[in-house]
Formats: sequence, C-alpha cells, structure tokens
Amino acid sequence: MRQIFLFFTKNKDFLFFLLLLSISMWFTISSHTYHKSKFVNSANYVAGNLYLMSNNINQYFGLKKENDVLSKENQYLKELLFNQKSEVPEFQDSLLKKNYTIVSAKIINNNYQNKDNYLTINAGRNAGVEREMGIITSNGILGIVDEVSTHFSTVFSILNSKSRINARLKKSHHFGSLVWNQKDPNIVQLIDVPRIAPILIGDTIVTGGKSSIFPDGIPIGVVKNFEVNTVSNYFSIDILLFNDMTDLNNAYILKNNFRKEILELEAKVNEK
Amino acid sequence: MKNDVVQETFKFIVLILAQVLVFNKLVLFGHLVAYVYVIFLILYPVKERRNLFLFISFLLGLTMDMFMNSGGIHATACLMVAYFRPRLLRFVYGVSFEHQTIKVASSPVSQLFSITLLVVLVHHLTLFFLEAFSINLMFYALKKTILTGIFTTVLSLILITLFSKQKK
Repeated sequence: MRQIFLFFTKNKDFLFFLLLLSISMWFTISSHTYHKSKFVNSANYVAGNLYLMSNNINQYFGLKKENDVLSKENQYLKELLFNQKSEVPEFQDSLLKKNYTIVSAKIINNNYQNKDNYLTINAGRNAGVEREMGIITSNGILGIVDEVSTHFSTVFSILNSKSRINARLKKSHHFGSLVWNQKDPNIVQLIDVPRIAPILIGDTIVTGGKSSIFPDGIPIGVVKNFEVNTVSNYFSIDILLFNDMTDLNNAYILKNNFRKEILELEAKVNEK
Repeated sequence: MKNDVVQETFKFIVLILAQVLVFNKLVLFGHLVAYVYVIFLILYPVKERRNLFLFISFLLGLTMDMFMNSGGIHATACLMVAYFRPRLLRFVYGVSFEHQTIKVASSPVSQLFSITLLVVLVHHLTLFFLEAFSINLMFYALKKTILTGIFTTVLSLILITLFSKQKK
C-alpha cells in the first residue's frame, strides 16, 4: 500500500500530464470523426461576441466594396422581377409551400489557412438556424452549418478536408463530389465525374441538388483545368471558385422546409 | 509573488487577444499563420509549480482551440511544450538552471533564440501532426512545421525583444 502511495506522490506531475493529455487527445480524436459534435467551438458566448466585436470594427473598411456587391445583386434580382412572364402574382396554395427559407447573416470569423476550416456567423438558434443547413453568398456556395448556439453558429467551410458536396456541370447533368486538396483557398476539386461528360476549360460548375441541403443550380466556380484518371476512368477537375474565400462578409443560410420529410423517406428506403 | 500572478494573467489574456484578433488574420502566402501565443510558454517563470504550469498551458491551448474550431490540437501541443520545457531549459541554460535566477526574456540573444526555436519546434510538430492525423500526410505536416516554425520564431523573437524591459 505504501509503495503505491509513494509511486503516486513521486509521479504526480507525470500522472497529471497524462490525465490532461488524454482529455486533449480525446477532444482531438472526436473532432476528427465526421460530423461529431465538438466540445469546444467558437459558437459560444465568449468567442462569438469577441468575433462580433472585431467584425463590427472591421466591416467599416469594406463598406464600398460591400455596397457594390449588394447593388449588383439588386440589379440582378430586379432584372428577374421585371422580366417575369406573368404580371399576376403566382397562385398561392398552402400545398405548394416554399421550398427554401432564407436567413441572412454576417460572417464574423473566417479561416482558410488550416486543413479543416470553419467560419463563424452571427445567426444561431434564435434566427432559426439548425445543423446541416447550406450557406451561400451572392457569388456562390460557402459550406454547411456545423454547430449552433443561441446567437452564433459555426460553418463547415468547403475548404475542409471532410467536406463533400454534390456538384454538377451547368450544361449537362453529370455530377461529382466537391472536395478540397488543401493547397489553394480559391481552388477546389471536383472528383468522380464520369469520363463521358463533355468538359471544357471555363465551364461553369453548379450545385447538383442531389442532397437536401442545397437547391439545384447554385453557382460554385469555373473549370480551371482537368485530367482523366486512367485507372478509374473518372475526371478530376480543378475549379476556380466564384467566391473569394479569403474575403467574405454577408451570407445567406438556406433552410430546406422539406428536409425532414426527405430524410424520413430516405431512412425508410435504407431500412429495407 | 502576487505581482507575478497579475503579470502572467495579463500576458495570458493579451496574447490570446493578439493571436485571435491580429495574428490569425495575418496570413502569409495564403496558408501560413504565426502562432505567437507560444510566447507565453517561453516566458513563463522558470521556477514554476509544475502542475499549475501544465494546467495553465492546457487552458491556453484549449482557448485557442475554441477560437479556431480545431478540436484539441492546440491544447495537446501546449501540454507537450509545458511537459518538456524543463528539459529544453536544461539543454539551453545548462544543468544548474534551477539554482540560478534566470529570466528568459533578458537572457543573451543566442540562448533566447535556442529556447524559442525549441519550444516552437515541439509545439508545431505536435500541432501539425495532429492536424494531419494520418501517416500519409507526414510530408504535409513536416513542411508546415518548418515553414510556420520559421514564421513563428521570427515574429516571437521580435515581439519578445520589443516588449521586454530594457537592460541598463
């Protein structure tokens, strides 16, 4: 008994070190598991408010550019509105419920230098944000909501080694998965596109709408170059993003009102 | 003693704020960020209470993880530095460092450089190997350790010399 006691008192620093090490390793390992909750994230009160404060100051430096972006978007939306085919507002039926509800938010923290990047936005549960909602800017897609707190959320950026988003060619419907090779924050890769797809440099890539997160046809970027993997007969394509991932400000969160229904249906299929 | 506690707490908070608000936004070549908050681990008083230092370092790393959404990699890296720091100090300042009253900030340039480099190396190696989290990405981790290590070391040395009290 005394020996055990002595062992503990002699090695108490090392044992304390081991205890803390196992806690931090546990945090690390669980964060590497796909879509498992993280125990420490920036969607909390302290980090969220600090980022919000810093963003409140920083946003003044980009006002002119931000105004240009918004007026361009307004112009595009006005064009759509004025060129609508019928003058009469579309028939509203409670059965034809809106597919997507949109929540606007500000990006208050942005990372792009790590292997797995996350954004923090200033909209949380109180704005109706939930996990696994898509997030876009007026230029294109950004990522998927990961953790949500009352006032803030963290977003799983497309610049993340675990991100896989369904995307397709705009002109044909050949689709693949959007991944990132961690090299350039403005270039992502589209893999698993069948060789039969007619690809040219400069082609536009949009979201595929095969998931219940993003609707079909949200712009992503243009083809920069591509090569055929001779072993698997699939294309691997480099895509230059429309978004400048290093300079982000306003964003829109897409809430799919039918997501629950879709997931329930798919779960039933999987059970069979 | 009380003065020390106040000073270290102040350093702790200021370094976290500086890292989160300034240095995380200072991205070199699109993917290099200097983790200057390791200055806290370099300058912490040499005559430390071992357990307390381990715990504070863990807390520092965990705070960084919270801000950067990185799971627990910063906490682990800081913990490694805290555990191995006495050995690194012995290597740089000689066997008898415990009996002397060494202040890391006001030691000669060569010794300051060595201890900074060693601490940064231990920290970044742990950090990037855990970030990569696979043997396949070993080259990526090594490359990032070396490049970021240079950036962090240079910036840390500049900051330490700028903010340490002038010797008469």
